[in-house]
Amino acid sequence: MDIDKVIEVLSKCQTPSEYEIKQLCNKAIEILIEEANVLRIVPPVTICGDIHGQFFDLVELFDLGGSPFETNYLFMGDFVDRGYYSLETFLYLLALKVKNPRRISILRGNHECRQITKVYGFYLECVKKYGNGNVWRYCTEVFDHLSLTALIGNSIFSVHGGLSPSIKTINQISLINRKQELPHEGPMSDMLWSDPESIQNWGMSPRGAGFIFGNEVVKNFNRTNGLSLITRAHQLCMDGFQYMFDESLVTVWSAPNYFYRSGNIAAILEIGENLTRQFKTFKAAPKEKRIVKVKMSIPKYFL
Amino acid sequence: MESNIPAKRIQSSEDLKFWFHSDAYYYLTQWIRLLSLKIKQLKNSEECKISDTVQNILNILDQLSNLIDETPPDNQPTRFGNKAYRTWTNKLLKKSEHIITSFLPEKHSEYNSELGVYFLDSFGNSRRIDYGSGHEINFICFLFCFYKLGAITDEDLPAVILKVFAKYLQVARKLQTVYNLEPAGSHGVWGLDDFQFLPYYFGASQLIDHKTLTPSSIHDKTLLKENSGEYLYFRAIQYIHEIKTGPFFEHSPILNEISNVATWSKVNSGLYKMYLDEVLSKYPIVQHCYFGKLLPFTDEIRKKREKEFKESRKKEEKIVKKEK
Repeated sequence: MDIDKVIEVLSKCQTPSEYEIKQLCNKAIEILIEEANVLRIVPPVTICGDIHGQFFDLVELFDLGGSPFETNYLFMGDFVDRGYYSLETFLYLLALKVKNPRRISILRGNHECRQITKVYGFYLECVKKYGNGNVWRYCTEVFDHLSLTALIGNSIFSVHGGLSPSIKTINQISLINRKQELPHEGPMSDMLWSDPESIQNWGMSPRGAGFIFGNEVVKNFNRTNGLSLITRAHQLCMDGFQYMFDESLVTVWSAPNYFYRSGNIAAILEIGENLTRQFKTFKAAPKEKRIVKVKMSIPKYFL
Repeated sequence: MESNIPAKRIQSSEDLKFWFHSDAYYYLTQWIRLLSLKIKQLKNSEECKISDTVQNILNILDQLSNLIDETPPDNQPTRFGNKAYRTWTNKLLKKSEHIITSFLPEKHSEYNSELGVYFLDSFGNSRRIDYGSGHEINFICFLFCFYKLGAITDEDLPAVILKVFAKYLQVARKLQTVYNLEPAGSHGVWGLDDFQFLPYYFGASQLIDHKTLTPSSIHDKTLLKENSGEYLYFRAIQYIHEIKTGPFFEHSPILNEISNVATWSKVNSGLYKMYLDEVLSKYPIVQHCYFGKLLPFTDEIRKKREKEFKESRKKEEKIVKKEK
């Protein structure tokens, strides 16, 4: 596999051959399998939230944040489902990761699993584009190997969803066997499904997975682990990002104008060498930059 | 014996498999088919019998709409949805006992709490400030409870959709826009609609064999405007244009493709299959469904059918033996 050629194709929102995708996924697994459940990242790094297949908005993100060949990036999961280009989006980031594993870091989101992608569009997209589910299978194998969390400069903790009542210290995360389909419950599931809420402690999550957690939980976790900030994604933000709990936790959201109706802007968080924080925001790609080449067909129910 | 307070019962893949064979699944699917049949070729303004029970539900929905006017969006900092929605929900909860006890006649009062659970969960989730097809299912279950108890009869069914469900949609859409509710569990471009499903299914039934309007008529802005008052399908499309940006084929590709289907009858039957497959079969949605006495998580109907089947086989075997 010629990684540069694959990157070139994907950067134009085109798809490589099924064989190239298989090779890319295998190569990615070789790299990801060596990574810990907690990635150690040396700043500077730019942290990004959900993308959900919005490829042309990912291009806007790179225009704003800097070329992925020259800038360090951490993506906090949810690359797939809902948008037109889940495949191109995920594979592009994967190819960039394979090209430069130390520069690009990718975490698993709650959508990076078989059960969810069969409901929310990624599976359908793969079958539409390749006529079979092979490419979906290769990608879900990669999902199983994605790391769960990151620690930036020993004081910023990043995860897709949030905290787990089973995890008091970051060291405990290393004990998790992450190389599996996302379980319905347990610490791995919690970290990818939980949400912060304006409460003090723990509560049941209305999502049906994970928990909601509040101010005291975050303050305790940060104190215990010597953290200044938790960054997470998983929830839509009108302004692209939202701080909570005296700026000890922030949600970063990177899919602008979500569902073509939300009117939200998207954000990235630039962490400087000295752990400085700067948010940058961006809007959806303008009409002339969005190509809709996915030709949907009449669903089978109507034939 | 099933509890009177509906509870969530689908918590595993085994539960999901059982759901398909359950009495609740049977009742719910037959119910929506029956409703679709009863409004075939009828406009929203069709004169229908409106019983006291139906009128009461309409009055209550009006009250909920007025409550939105009395609870304007606030300026609190928020992640996305407006927090005044939680205030609206709290106000609804304060009134709920009074509302719920008004639904059914005294003889059915033991079912009030069951009805109440479905009703109160029909308008979105106040913690997440969102709304999705699961909330729509709850309202349909709420309506089914009346029918199962005989508080609503076949004669009332056109009004149930053309007046009650239509008004419910008005309230739901008002909540969505006033409080900026997030679409809960939307499939994005791979799904039919961010918030609703059944207005399209019922709406297609209204349009079956229409003399002039075809599925592709939704692209004609004039026709859309002229017919959105009378047809649920057209109103649903119009609403999408009100809240989404960009070309229709881009933000609503599935609806766009359905506009190429030849007849409304095919749209209607196709949407029924799609509903079963893409809503009622999906764990993320049905894990939130409630089951009580009226929509029970039992499989008595299946057991009865199996028993009848075995008995008829035995009879056949006897006949064959006799003949020999």
